[in-house]
Amino acid sequence: MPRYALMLLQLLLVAPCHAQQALSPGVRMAMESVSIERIWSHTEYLGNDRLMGRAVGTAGADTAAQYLADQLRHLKIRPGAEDGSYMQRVPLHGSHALTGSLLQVIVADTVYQLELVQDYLLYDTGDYTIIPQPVPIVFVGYGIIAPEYDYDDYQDLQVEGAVVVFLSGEPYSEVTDYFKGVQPTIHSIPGMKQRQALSRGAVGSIMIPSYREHGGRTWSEWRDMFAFEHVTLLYGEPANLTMLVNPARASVLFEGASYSLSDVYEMDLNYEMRSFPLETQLRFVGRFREREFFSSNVIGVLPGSDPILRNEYVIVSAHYDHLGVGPPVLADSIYNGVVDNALGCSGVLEIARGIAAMPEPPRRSLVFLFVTGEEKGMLGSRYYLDHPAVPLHRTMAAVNVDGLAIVDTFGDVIGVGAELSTLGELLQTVAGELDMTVSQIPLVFQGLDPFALSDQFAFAQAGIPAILLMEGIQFKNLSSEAGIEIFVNWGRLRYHTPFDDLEQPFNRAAVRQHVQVLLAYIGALADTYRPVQWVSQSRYNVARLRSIIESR
Amino acid sequence: MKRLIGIAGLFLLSCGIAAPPVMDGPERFKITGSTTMNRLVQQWAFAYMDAHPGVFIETESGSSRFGIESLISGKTDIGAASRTMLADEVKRLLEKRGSLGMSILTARDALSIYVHRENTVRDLSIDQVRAIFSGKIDNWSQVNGPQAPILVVNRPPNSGTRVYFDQFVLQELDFTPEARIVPTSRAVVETVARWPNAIGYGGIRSGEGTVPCSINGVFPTAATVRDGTYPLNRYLYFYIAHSPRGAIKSFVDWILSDEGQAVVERAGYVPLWEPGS
Repeated sequence: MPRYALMLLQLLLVAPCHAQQALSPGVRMAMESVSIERIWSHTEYLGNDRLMGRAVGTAGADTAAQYLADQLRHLKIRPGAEDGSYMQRVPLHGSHALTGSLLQVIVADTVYQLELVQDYLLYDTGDYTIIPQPVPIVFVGYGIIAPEYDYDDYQDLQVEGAVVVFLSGEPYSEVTDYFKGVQPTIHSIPGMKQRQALSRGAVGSIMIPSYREHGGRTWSEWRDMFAFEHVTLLYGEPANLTMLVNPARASVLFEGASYSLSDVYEMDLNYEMRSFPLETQLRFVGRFREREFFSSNVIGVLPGSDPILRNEYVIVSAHYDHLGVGPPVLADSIYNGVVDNALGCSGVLEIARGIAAMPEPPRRSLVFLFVTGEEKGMLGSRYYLDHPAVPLHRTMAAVNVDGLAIVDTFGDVIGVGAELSTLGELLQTVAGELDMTVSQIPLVFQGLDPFALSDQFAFAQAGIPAILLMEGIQFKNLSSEAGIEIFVNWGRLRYHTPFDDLEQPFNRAAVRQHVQVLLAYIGALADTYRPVQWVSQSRYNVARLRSIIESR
Repeated sequence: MKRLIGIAGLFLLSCGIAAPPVMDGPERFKITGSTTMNRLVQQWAFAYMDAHPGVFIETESGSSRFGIESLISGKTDIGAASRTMLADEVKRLLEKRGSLGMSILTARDALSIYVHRENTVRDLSIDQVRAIFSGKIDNWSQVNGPQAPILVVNRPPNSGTRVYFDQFVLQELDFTPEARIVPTSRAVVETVARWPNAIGYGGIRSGEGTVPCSINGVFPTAATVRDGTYPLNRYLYFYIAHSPRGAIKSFVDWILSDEGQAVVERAGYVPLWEPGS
C-alpha cells in the first residue's frame, strides 16, 4: 500500500481518540520521572568554572561536547554523526583584530588616527576588510532601503567604492503601519544594513550608535560585547569592512561636511533624517590573528516505534557553547553561561533519558542535537542543516531549548514561533492536557523578535517548522509584573555577563516543571499523526517546499 | 568512462585547446580562475574525479579576476581566486545572478618573495620589500647585496596575487613602472630563475632556480603561515553564486575534509589544518 494511503488510513482509524489524548501514558510516566537532581548535576558540570565558559574552539567547549556524547552513550541513544560517532566535526575560522591595526580618517591635509577598541570596534575581521587606499565616505542616514514604507536612504547617492556611515536604529514611528510603530523592524538590525551597503557596492560601513536606539549604553559596554573572537563557518556570504565607531570620536567623520554629527542627532530626534556626502576619506589596514579549528555538534538518534512514522524525525536541540573568558566584571572573567545554556542542555539530557526509558518510544524518531557556535551566529545549527544527519524533508519539526524557567513555577507557556506553523495548535492541545494556558510574548519582549535570536530561526530558514518553548507569565508565587521585572533585570545584569553562573538564584521546581512541559510537548509531537506544517502565508514555506522537491 | 573524458578534457584545457563537448548532467561543473591556484585546482579535480567516477570537473586557468568575472556572467560554476571579492564584483554578482554569492576558504598560501638562487640576499624586511617593488630601492647593494640593479618582476593588474601584494605590501605606494610584467605565476618563477638580479613574488612553492627570502627573519613554511608569524600569508578562495547543491556541494565538502586538505599539502600549498589532526 502506498505510504501516504497507509498514513491516511492510520489517521482515520486512530486520530479521533488521539485528538483527545495528545499525551500517551508513557509520556506522562516520563514526565513524572523528571529529576531536578539529575538536571542540576549536568548543569553543575557544564556550568562549572573548569569549563571556562565553553567558548567555541576552546578545550572547555570540547570537554562539554565530550560530556554530552558520553551521556547519550550512557542512555543508549544511537550516535547520529556520519562517521558513526556522536561528534559532527564543524570546521570553523576564527579571527581576532590586533591593536596594530591602522584606521585613518583623512580630511584635506589632516590625518586623524583612530585606535582599535578605544575609538572603533570591528564586526567582521579578516583580509576582506582591508582598504589600503583612501576612499570617500558617504553618510546614508539610517542605511535603510524599505520599499514597503517607501523609504530609501540611498536614493540619489553614489556609494560604489565608498565607505558608508549610518546611524543605528530606524525612522521613529508611533503608527504600526510605518516601521511597525515603536517596535523595531528587521531594517534596524546592523547586519541588514551592512548587507544593504555591500549590495550597493560600498567597500565598508560604519555604524554610529544613536542615543534613541541604544539609550545609555556606554562605550565600555559596547567594547565588552566585541571582546570575543570573531568566528565563522569556512563558507558564507562575502563581507567587507564593518565597524562601530565611538560616538565620542565619530564627529571627525563629519568634519568639513554640510552637517555635523550633532545635526544628525537632531535630525534623528526631529524625524528629518537625510543622507549626504562627507568631505572625509577613510583608510584601514587591519592586522589579524587568524586560525582554523574544529568544534563539534553532538548528535544522538532515538528511533521511533512506528514502522512508518519512525522515518520522520523531530529535532530536539540546545546549544552548549557560551562566550568563554572575557573582560572581567568585578574580578570575574569567566562567562559561565549557566542559564544560557548549560541548563538547557541539561534539560535536553533529562528529556532524552525520560523518553529513552519509556516502555515504547514515541512513533517518530527523535534527533537530540547539541549544537556548537550558537553565540557566534548559529554556526553549529547552520552547519548541521547543510550536513544533516537525517534528511531535512523528513525532519518534521524542531524544538529548540535555550534557557529554562528559573524564577517561579508557572501556569502558562509561550511558544516562540508557535503562530508560524501548526506547532502552535499542538501547543494549545498539550497545554490543555496539562491544565495550562498558552500566552503571547509579553509586549516588552516583542520588539526583540525572539524567534530570530536562537537556533530555531536557522531551522525555520531551512524550512523545518520550529518552536522555542518558554515559561509564561502566570506565576504561582509572583504577579506577572513582578516576574517580568525579574526577567528584565536578569537580562540587564546577568545575560552575557560572568554572573550567569552557578551562584545565581534558581527555583528548582520551576526548572523541573519546564523540563516536564518540554518533555510532554516533544512526546506529543513525536506521537501525533497530524502533519506539521507552516501556516500558508509563512515565509518559510518556500524553503520547506524546496527541501521536499530536492529530497534533501 | 566519464572520468576518463574528464581527465582528457583537463589535459586539453591545460594545453590551451578547447575541450571536446561533454554531455550535460548534474554531475558536471566547471572551475575557472587564479593561476596561483591552478595546480591546486587541477590536483583537487583529478583526485576527486578519481574517487567519484561519473563526476566531471572542467578547469580553466586565467586569473582571479577572470574567475570572478566568469562567475558573474554565469560562464563558470566556481570562481577560484587568490584574493577576496571586491565590492563592485559583489554588487555585479547580485545584479546578474540575484545573490551576493558564497565565499569559501579552501587553503592558505604564503606570498613568497623569490630571488635568483645565486643571489646572496636571503632575508628582507617588509619595508625593504615595499621599497624594492615601488622602486625606492633599485640596487641590491642597498639591501646588503651585490652592486647590481634590481629587476622587479610583476604580474598584470588582473592577477589576484598582484592585488593581494598591492593591498598588503605596497598599500598606498605604487608599483615601480620599471617592472617587467609577466602573465602567470609560473612565468614569474621562470623569469627570476633566468635573471640573477631579478626579484618576484608568488605562492609558497617556488620553482627551480629560485629561492624564497625570509621576511623579517621568518621563512615561509606551512607552520609559519598557519601561526601567522610569516607576515605575508593569505587565503585561497572559491566563489559560488548560490548555496551549492548536488555534485558541487559534495566537492566543496570534500575539499574541506582531511582528504581534500591532504591534496593541498601534496600540491605544495598550506592546508587550513593539519590533515588528520
